[in-house]
Amino acid sequence: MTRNEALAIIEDIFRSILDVEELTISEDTEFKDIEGFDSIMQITLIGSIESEFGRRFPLKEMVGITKVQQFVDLVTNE
Amino acid sequence: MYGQYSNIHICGIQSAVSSRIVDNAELAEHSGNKSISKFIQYTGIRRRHLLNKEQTVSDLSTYAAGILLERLGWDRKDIRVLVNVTQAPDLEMPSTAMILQKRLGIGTDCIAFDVNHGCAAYVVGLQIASALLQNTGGKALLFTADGIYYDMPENPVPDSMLFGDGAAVTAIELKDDYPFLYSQNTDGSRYNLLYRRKNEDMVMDGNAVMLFTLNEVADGIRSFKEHFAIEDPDIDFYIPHQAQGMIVNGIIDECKLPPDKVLTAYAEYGNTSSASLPITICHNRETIQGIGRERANILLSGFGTGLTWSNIYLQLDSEAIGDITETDIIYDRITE
Repeated sequence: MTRNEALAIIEDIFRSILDVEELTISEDTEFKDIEGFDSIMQITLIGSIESEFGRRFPLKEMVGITKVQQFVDLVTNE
Repeated sequence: MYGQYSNIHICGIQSAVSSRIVDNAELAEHSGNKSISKFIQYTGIRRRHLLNKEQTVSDLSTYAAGILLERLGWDRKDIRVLVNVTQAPDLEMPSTAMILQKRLGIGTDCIAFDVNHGCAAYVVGLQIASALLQNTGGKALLFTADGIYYDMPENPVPDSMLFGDGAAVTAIELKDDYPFLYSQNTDGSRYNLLYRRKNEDMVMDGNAVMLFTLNEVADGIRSFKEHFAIEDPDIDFYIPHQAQGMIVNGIIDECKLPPDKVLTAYAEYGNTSSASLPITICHNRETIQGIGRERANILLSGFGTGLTWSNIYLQLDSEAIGDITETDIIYDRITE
């Protein structure tokens, strides 16, 4: 999977969680800059990422992520 | 710090919840918020028992203790220690422990007090009661109970959907050849990660608390086992605090615990804070009794507000485990 493909999936997840269809994110997007994103959203995001990518990732790594780029790194790192 | 006793015998455990059940999936569907539905799915908390209007957790505690004391046939004058660990006292003063003492007819040759602790309540309370018993002798009752009645809001707050209300009472006496190993850690410098002002909602930095769980709590379990040279085959069951499914699974992964030895109850009861560990024991009574031995080797791990993290290894008579009784009883209040 390319980084762009991963980013597109992650963007869809964010849109679904935040219920904002027109949301656009990039690898540089930081969670603190996303309106309405909180620790509850982070739990939902972690669960959704594992569900969408069909894999389990180390929770400690996932919880420590603060930027979209780190998620892209994680899911594209085979 | 670490410590140990060789004479802590748990004679009985009994839990109680109200019959008011809130189904999280229905609540999320009613809210129409897909994110909340997913949140519920990933935390694994399907339903919770919540207090009825006017009911307090001391009602649950009293009811559970009545059942347990009748089962044990204890002379109530022999109870020297009554510790009630809760964040939901009935009154500002005195301790709810005194109210429980009166309701249960426990004699005056007894020390009784409340302790303010949250999700580590059971392991902290067991250590306090065990330490006191070494001097007082006789018998001890440990209550661990939490919950405050609130009206269900039209739009549920996801944080609140993690928590259930419940109470448990544990009867303890000194008896040789019952090992009790413990560790205890507290870090008050991070008290502000999880707190509640009077009459306000709880404030939690969820991410920081989750990282604490996956770092200090997991490391604490590993170090505890290493310190006391405990191996997986020595343990029949691991019982971590039932914060929510993602955290319990995170601890299993971080500590490489055998998943089939980890007992849970969060799906049915949510995070019952102080009562979480004994409720999990009672919920899994048949599984624990199913090992076919008189005693089960249990590792309890409590962690939460404080921040606090603490572990106990003990041997539990499988016959000591009671059930989780539903009750809507409300005892008399200030006029009693």
